Amino acid sequence: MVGKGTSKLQARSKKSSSRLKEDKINQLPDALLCQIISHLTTKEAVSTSVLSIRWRSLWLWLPRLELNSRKFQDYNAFLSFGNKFFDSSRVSCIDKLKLTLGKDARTVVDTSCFTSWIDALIKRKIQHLHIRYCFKEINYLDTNRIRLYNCETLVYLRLFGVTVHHAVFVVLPCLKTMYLEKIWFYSEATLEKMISSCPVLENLTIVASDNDTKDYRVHSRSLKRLTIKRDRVAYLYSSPGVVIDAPLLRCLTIDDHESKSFIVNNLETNAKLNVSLYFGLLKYSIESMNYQSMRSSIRDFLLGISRVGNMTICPFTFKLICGCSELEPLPQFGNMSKLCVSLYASNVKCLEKFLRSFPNLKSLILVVNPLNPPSDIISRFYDVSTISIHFVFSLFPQMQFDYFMHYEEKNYQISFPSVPECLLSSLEFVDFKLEIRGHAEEMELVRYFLENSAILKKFTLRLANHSTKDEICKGVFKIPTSSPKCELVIL
Amino acid sequence: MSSNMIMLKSSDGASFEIEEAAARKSKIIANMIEVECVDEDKAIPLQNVTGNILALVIEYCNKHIVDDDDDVATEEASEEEEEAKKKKVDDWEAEFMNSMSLETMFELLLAANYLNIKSLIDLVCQTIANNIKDKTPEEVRKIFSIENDFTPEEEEEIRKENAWAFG
Repeated sequence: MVGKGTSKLQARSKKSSSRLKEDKINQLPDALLCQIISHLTTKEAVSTSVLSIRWRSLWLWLPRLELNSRKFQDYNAFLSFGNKFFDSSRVSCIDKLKLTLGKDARTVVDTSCFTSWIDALIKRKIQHLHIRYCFKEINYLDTNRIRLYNCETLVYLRLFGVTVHHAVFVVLPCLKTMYLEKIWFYSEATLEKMISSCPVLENLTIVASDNDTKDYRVHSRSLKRLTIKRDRVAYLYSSPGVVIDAPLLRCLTIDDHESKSFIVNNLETNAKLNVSLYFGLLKYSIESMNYQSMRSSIRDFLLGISRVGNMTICPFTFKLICGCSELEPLPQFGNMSKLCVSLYASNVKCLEKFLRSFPNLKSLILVVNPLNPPSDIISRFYDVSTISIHFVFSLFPQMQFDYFMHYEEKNYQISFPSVPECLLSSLEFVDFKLEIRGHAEEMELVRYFLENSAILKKFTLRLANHSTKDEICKGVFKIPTSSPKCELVIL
Repeated sequence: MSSNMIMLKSSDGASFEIEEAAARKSKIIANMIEVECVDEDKAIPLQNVTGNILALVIEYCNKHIVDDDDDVATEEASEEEEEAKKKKVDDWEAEFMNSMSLETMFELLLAANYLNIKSLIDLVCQTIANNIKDKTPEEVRKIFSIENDFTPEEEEEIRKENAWAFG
């Protein structure tokens, strides 16, 4: 396949001379020199201006730039650099820009220049734009200053600490990826409007700002991946909601400690879901607590996602769903083939009932959290009055158990009354992601799966580095397996 | 395996046989194939590339045959597999570049530019940039034999103008 004529070894004159005899780099065209310096940090690239006359202005043609206003000796130096670089009459393209704006207390912020910078970026076909606004006193940069109305080349947009006005975009026809972090949306319609301005948007990440209580409504015909993160904010008492309608969505991650309702109207069949939801439980006060509505939120959410094929679920969400399952049957998830459940040890007993909802499950990953709910969650229940604790317990009976057993209960008891359908007919892979120490309860759980999973192909276990490791191993191998060809993997 | 073979001929008359899939890494050659100006028996003459450099280009292309247009496959492959694959390629590229002198690198860059092989241009530019990184301007001038044609006053002015970059 390789050359017949010359030996390639000839080309590789040894590295003995790491210096060039002539100014060979000078023979490269400007475009290539520019490409070389574009692999440097912006600071290093700009410092090549001092090498020789030819190199003096090369940096002005850099296609990629990363600027942080804090790195300049003062804000004026930053502005004058920017004004020089973002010259809209220069024809070369700027592919990528990361602009970090931060200030120290002494300088005056003048953001008026950004308008002309952005104009230049649009003209010079910006594809990848990342703006971070990290000012302490004034929290947000106004998008009136960064008018991206109709940037036709933009493919990637990431904004941090920006205020977005209602009419910020008209259309971004190529935008595929958008990150919105700590954004102040002008109104609830703003996010919707932003998304609808991006007809080919495929990836969207929203990280809520601390004081944002707005509902997030995501309607998109093109979106494939969506991530929503909303941390818990103690002082807010209005719980927002999330509404998703995206028929092509195949990967949804929600880590939301605040929102009380999640309505998923549309998802791709067999989509992948990763959820850590609290349904606003942590912020209910006695006045606002409405258990009925929480239960119906959980029910609505489950119905909305009932066609997903792959789900990862956090211990607290598992707990809440199990709480509901005590009171009403869960919907059936006929498409679910892979499930990763993290759960508190005290909730292992709910597992059998939970698994009944997944009649075609192929692969199950179990992560048992040896602790009960983190103490801050428990302490939230202390915060609210005893009456509300009573309410919670009446709804989620097993919680009462945990609540009182929080400090004592380390192990779990299981006695599953029946065998869910998936174990009998579909479950092929089970992976226990917990370090087995040989407790009777753990072994019971292992036994349950080995004895009852009729077509199991692979069972993976992790043993704690323990003196009794060999014994545990022997014990596991003694368990009669129901499936004729089950591979037992012990790590 | 029954991929078409193509002949390439360097400026100094050396002939190389290469799989069409590998040759297509070069946009120029791919274009020639598209418009069917490639005669099966005749070698494609590449006037700007010498045999020893062409051998390197071909070595690179052969190594990177598969990883084009594999977007569909990547969705399926597991992350670990992808990572392992990428690391293997990275290691190979590091070794490939490491065995080369700066002179060769510049010639390879010009050839990659002429043949329009974007990933190879990037690789060589990155490697050359690594030689500039973390060095003082004096050191960079020395490594690349760049003649400083500024007067001391001019140089001082440039340093002042973008003082932040020289801090």
